Amino acid sequence: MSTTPLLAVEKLRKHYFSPKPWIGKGPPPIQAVDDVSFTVERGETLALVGESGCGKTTTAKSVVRLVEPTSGSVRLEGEELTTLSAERMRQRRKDLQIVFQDPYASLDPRLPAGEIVAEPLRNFAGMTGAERKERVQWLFARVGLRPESAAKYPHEFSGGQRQRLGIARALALNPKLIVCDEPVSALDVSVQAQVVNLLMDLQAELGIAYLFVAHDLAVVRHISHRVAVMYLGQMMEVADRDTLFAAPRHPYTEILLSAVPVPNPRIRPQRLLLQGDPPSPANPPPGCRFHTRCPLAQPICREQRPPLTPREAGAGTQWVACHVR
Amino acid sequence: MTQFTAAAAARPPLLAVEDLRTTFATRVGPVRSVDGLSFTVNDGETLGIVGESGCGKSVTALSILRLVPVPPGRHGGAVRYRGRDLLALSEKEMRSIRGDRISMIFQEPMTSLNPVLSVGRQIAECVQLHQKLGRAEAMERAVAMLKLVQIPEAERRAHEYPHQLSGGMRQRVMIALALSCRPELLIADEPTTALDVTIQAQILDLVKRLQRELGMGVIMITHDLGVVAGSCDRVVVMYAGRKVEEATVLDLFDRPRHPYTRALMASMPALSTRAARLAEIPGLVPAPHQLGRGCAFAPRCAYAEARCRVEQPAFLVDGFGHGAACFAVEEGRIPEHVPELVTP
Repeated sequence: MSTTPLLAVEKLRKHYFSPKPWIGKGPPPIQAVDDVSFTVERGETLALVGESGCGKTTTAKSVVRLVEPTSGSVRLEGEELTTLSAERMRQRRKDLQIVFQDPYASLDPRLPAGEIVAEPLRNFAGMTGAERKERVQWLFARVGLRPESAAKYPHEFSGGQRQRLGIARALALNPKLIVCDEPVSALDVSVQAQVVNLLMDLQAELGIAYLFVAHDLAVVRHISHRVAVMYLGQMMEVADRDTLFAAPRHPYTEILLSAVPVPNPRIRPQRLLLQGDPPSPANPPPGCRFHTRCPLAQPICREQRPPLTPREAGAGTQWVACHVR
Repeated sequence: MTQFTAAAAARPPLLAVEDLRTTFATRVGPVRSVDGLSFTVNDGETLGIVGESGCGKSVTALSILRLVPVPPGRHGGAVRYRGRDLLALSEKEMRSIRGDRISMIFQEPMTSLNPVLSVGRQIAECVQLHQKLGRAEAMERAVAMLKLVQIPEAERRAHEYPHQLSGGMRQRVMIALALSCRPELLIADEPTTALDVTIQAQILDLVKRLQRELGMGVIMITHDLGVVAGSCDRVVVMYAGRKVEEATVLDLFDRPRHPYTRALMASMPALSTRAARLAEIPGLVPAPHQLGRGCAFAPRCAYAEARCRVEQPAFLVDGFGHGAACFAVEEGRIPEHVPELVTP
């Protein structure tokens, strides 16, 4: 096995510019993602967590180039994706699939389920009709859908089944990495467990890596190997799961974890309440982006942006962007 | 939480829902969204109503305030507020209660606030209507309410419109609006579902603090057992329009009885414990027009027997007020729940 990581994202930036007005200066660009770096190893799940507007979905979409990054590099097995030609990128997409949050909006309502799953095979695999049919049947069975439901249309499925369909489509070409953008947040608790288990089974069986974008920290703790915490377009902390949940280092991670409601009435958690709302990504504060709400902020935090630096931790290395911790 | 004195015992409870049935006429025939639901809410108490989508929890909230359009909706049973049946009141009488004595906060603050009125004006309007205050006084009250829910620079924010506020701020405006007439009962329908966890913590904290200050009863409707554990005194668990279990929050989490409650707890990933695999509940929540004769959970239940599929179990309550509607519980077919050790 080579030492290049499966996916390496470096200094990724995505700024959204407004059209320039006739006179004067336009509004400042929205810095959705600003200087984000991380890697995903083969067969690993890296969770990207943070609150709405922190840039986690933009990051995920930049990886598959559904959003063109402003600058930075995204390498899949060492190959730079951001500068690939459209045709070469199309080929590369075989290894790089995505499952969306909203299973209602991401499936073509006019195609029967079997065709939705067969479409990537038709585009890439060069299979005969019979082979394709067999593969679709296998995929349906693998994600827990009845093969005879291939003739049904998306609206005839429930939310959980539609998400299974989305997963089957992503699996069709044996990808190495699946970007999962909030795959279970639209589902009911009892169905959510089914989909989480399915994703974990598929990983164990087929060795797929996941870049798992989520805001539900309990699900993240369950499914991921490593966790990256984002705030206002930047990475605050990256660590292996157990270290991050047991010993969060960044003040923001700590506050985020303490805010999760605990399903046990005997535990009255000491909540560290965060005051106010996050600043606008169009006008982020200088220095550390979290300093305006940070209980530990020092003068240096207002001036200098802390780099993401490694700290020793029990099981591995914990990367933290903080002057104080 | 609630303290019974002789006077309080004589007074009718804040809210008593009795055998509530809400039916909708549809193309496929009448659909019963809420079916024989009963519960009470006492002063100063928080009652949680938990369940998944389609279990009838939101329709229950709308039925209490008579916000279900009739027709196609139809109500049966009674909703007694201090002994008066709200379902029997005229629309005019109902309007004097709604927003004044009983108010509600909704899941999506953007769609439930008026986009063309400033937030201060909206609160003032409600106060003017119910409390017969003058325009200037009402606006003063509006600003005071915005301060109460910790909106910074309340005087300035009162003149802003909903789209100028963030999601958390909008939800706080909703709360200010709901509490502006000092209601005795607040119905919160998934008040934090659309919000981030740190904002959710702020909002739940705020509701709890205001409840203590104003002494009101709260119905907290949610699908999140974490929210239930953190903010409710008593809990009603609903499945397919019916109450399947009711208990104090401690009893419910220590000794859940109904197989559905147990399965729901087991299927939730937790921050503190980590099982190798989540327990799945097989199958799907049934659609309300596809319910059979028996227990609605029977097709997904590990303890279901022939009887469960044809007969509706009665809701039986023990001496501690812990009740469940389940034949397996009744017949002692389910082993005693052993709570997992949870470390903080």
